[in-house]
Amino acid sequence: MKNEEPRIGVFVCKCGTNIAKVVDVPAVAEYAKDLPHVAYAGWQLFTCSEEGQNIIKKHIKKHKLNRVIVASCSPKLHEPTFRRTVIDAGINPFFFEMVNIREQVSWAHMKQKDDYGEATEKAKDLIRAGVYRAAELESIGSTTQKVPPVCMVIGAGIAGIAATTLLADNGYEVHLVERSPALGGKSAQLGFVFMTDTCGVCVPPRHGEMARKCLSKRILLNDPKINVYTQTEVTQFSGYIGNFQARLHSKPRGVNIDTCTLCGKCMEVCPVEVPNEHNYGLDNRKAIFYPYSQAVPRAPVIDFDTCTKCGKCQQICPVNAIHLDQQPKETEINVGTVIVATGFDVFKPEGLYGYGEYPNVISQFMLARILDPMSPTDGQLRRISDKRLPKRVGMIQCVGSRDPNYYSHCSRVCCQVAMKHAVYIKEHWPDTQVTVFYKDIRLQGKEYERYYLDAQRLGVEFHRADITDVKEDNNKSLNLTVDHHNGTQEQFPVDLLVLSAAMIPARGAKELARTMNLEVDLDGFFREYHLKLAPVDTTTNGIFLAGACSSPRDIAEASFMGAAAASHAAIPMSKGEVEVDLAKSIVDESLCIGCANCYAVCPYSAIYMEGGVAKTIEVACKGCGICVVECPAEAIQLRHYRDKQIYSQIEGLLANIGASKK
Amino acid sequence: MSKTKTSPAKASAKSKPSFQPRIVSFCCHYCSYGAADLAGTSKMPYPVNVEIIRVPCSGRVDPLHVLEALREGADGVMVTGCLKDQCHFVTGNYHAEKRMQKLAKDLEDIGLGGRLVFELMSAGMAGKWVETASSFYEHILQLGPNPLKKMKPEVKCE
Repeated sequence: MKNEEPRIGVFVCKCGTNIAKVVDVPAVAEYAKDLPHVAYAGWQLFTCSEEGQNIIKKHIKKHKLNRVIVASCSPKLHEPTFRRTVIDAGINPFFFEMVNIREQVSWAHMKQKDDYGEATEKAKDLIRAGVYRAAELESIGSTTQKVPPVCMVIGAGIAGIAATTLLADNGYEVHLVERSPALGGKSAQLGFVFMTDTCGVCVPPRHGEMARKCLSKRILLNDPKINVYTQTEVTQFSGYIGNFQARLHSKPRGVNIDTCTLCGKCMEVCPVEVPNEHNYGLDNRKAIFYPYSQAVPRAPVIDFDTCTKCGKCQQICPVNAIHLDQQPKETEINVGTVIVATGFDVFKPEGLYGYGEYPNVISQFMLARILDPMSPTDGQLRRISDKRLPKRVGMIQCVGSRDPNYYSHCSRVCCQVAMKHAVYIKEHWPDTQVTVFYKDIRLQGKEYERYYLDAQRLGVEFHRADITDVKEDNNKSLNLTVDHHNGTQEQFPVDLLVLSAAMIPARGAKELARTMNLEVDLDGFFREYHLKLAPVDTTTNGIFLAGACSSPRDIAEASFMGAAAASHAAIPMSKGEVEVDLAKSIVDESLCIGCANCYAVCPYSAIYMEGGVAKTIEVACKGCGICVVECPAEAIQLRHYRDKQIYSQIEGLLANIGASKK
Repeated sequence: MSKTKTSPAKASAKSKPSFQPRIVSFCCHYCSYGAADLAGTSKMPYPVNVEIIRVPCSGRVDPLHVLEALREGADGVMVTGCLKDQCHFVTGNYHAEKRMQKLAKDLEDIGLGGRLVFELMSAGMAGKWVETASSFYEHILQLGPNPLKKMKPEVKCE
C-alpha cells in the first residue's frame, strides 16, 4: 500500500442521540466530503453496530477506500472494534483513525446549550485533524511472542487463592507470592463470614472440592503446580506479556517448615512479647509465633524485627528446626502472565469518634476478632477496658468512606458487616442493645437483605444520624451526641462503640503500582482497563487484577473475580503465543549518529547499541516515544506516531485559522 | 467554516468576546486523555475551543510540536500527562516536564511567553482537566491572540 494515493472514508456516528443531540452530524459529514483525500463521507446511527460495521465494509469496497476514519466515541472504547472491521475488509488496522466527538465534544459540551453550533465546529476541527493525519498513516505489521504456561499471582487472599487454584487445576504453573507469613488474607481475620456464616479461614475456594476448601488442609502447599512464597514481596518487575521477569525478596522465616513438628516449645520459652497484629493488638504474641491458629504454612515464624536472638528457642527445639541466622532470599522468576490480587487494608480512623483515644472505641475488624471463636476472649463479646459484657453497643457506618475529607468511595461491605455482627450479638446476647447509626443502608448482594430483616426482627435499632461528638464517662462508657437527620439532637450512651471503617488500598499498593506500571484511581485502587467491558484487565497486556485491589469487594465478588482473572490469564497461556503489533520505535540506521541518547532514556531497555548505531527490541518496546524526542538526528521514529503524522494532525486541526482571515 | 465566521450573529447577541482563543492540548493516551474522556462522560463542561491531540505519552511531545502548533496559529498549547510516579511509561512525564519547562523559558524569549501550560493528572481527575482547560482558556483570553496568527499565510512553509 506504500505510495498509494490515500482514499479516505469518513464515517460520522450519531450514537443514537448521544452525539446527534449536540452535534449536527449530517452537516459534519457533509463538511468532511470536501476535505483532502476524502473519497467518501457519511453518517450512521450506530456505527459500532453490526450493521454500521457492514456499511463501513461496503463503502470500503465501493469507493476503494484505503484509510478509514470513524468519528464517534473515545478510541479507548471502540478503536479495537473498528480495527477489526477494517482488517475484515482487507485494510491494515493502522490505516484506521478514530476521532472522538462524543466524550470530547457532545458529552463535554452538552450543558453549554448556547455553544451547540460551536460543538459542531469543534467536531469538524477534530475530523479535519484526523483526515490530515490519516493521509500520513502507514501500514504496520505484527510479530508473535511466545507465552509460557506460567503465571505469577501476587497476594494470597480470597481472590489470589481462587485464581491460583483455578489455574493450577487447569494445568498451569503458578508462583503465588504473599507478603505476610500465612495464606488467607484478610478473610482469615474475620471469624465467620457472610453469606454462609462459615469460617473465614476456610472460604478460599478450591474448585469443586468442598472437603479441600479448608486452608489447613495445606492443599496449596502440596500442589506440584503451585510454588508458594510467603513473607515475599516483588521488588523488581520488568518485561512484557510472555516474558515478565520478577525479582522476589523473601524475608527469613527462621523456622524450617519441613522439619518443625509444631510442638510449640519455642513459643513457650520466648521472652519477647509484642502486640498481636492478627488480633489488632487485643492480646500479645511472642517474637516466635503462629500468625494465627490455623495458619498455613503450618509452622511458627520468627519476627526478626522484635527478636532479641537470645537463642532460647533454638536450644529447646527438639528437631533443630530453628535457624536464627537465616538470611533473606532473592529469587528471580520468569512468567508469562501476572495476576495482581493484593487486596485492601482497613482505614485507621485515628482521631475520629475517639478511636485511638478511648479503649472501647474499636473497628468492625476488631469486633470480628473478638467474636471469632479463636479470639483472645474465646468468642465472647467483651469490652476492651474491663472485659465485661457491654449492655449497649453502638455502630457508626461510613467511617472514612463516602467522606470528602478521607475517601470518596463507598466501601460496599460495611453495612453488611455491621448487619452480620448486630445479628450475631442479638442472637447470642439478647439483652445487649445494638444501635446502628447510618447515612444510608446499602445492602445489595445475594442474601444480604435476609440479614437486614433478621436484624430488624431481633430488635436492632437503626438511626439515620450524624454523630457529632463522642465523650468518655467514668465507667469508660461513651456518650454520643447524635444529630438525627430529622433535625433533633440527643445524647446517647453506649458501652462499646464500633466504627465501620473504610476499605482502602493495601499498604504498599502505591509502590507496587510504580514497580509494575499499574494505573491507580483517585482513591488509590488499581485501575481496571474498562469498568464494565474489561474489569480484570489492565493497560499492560498480560497483567490482570483480582479482588479488592481495584475496588472494595466482598468475599463472593473477590472469589469470582479471581476466577475471572484466571480465565483471562489462561487465554494467552493456552494459545501459547500472542500477537504483538509493531507500532514501536524504529531506527533509521543511515541517520543514526550513535550518540546513545535514546538508549539512555528508554525505560524498558528496549534499545541497545550495536556497530555504532542504536537498535530496538520491538517486542520489549512499549511505544511511548520518549526516545524519539531525545534523538538529535531524527533517526529514531515511533511508528503510528511519527513526527510527520503529528505535524499533519496539528496542521489539520488549525487549518481553518488562516482560512478565516481570507 | 471557522467558529468566528459561522456564528457572528450569535456571538453579538450573547455579547461574546470577539477573540475566542484556539487551544491545542496534547494529551497522553493513558492519563490526561482519560481524564478528558471522564470529564465528557460526567458531562463536565470546559471551553469548546480546547481541542485534543492524542499522543501515547507526554514524553512523545516534542517541543517542536508545540512550536508547530503556535506557528499554525494556536493561541495556547497545553501539554498534559500522568501524575508523577504514575506515568504508564515510567519516566515519560518527567522527560516531558523537563522539556516543557525549558521550552516555556524559550517561548518567553521569543515573545510567546505564557502560551504553554504543562499539567499532570491521572485518568480519574476529570475535575483537574476541566479546571486546567478552563483557567488556561481564561489566561489566554487575557493574554490576547497569538501574534503569529496574523502572519500565518506568510509563515506557512512547505
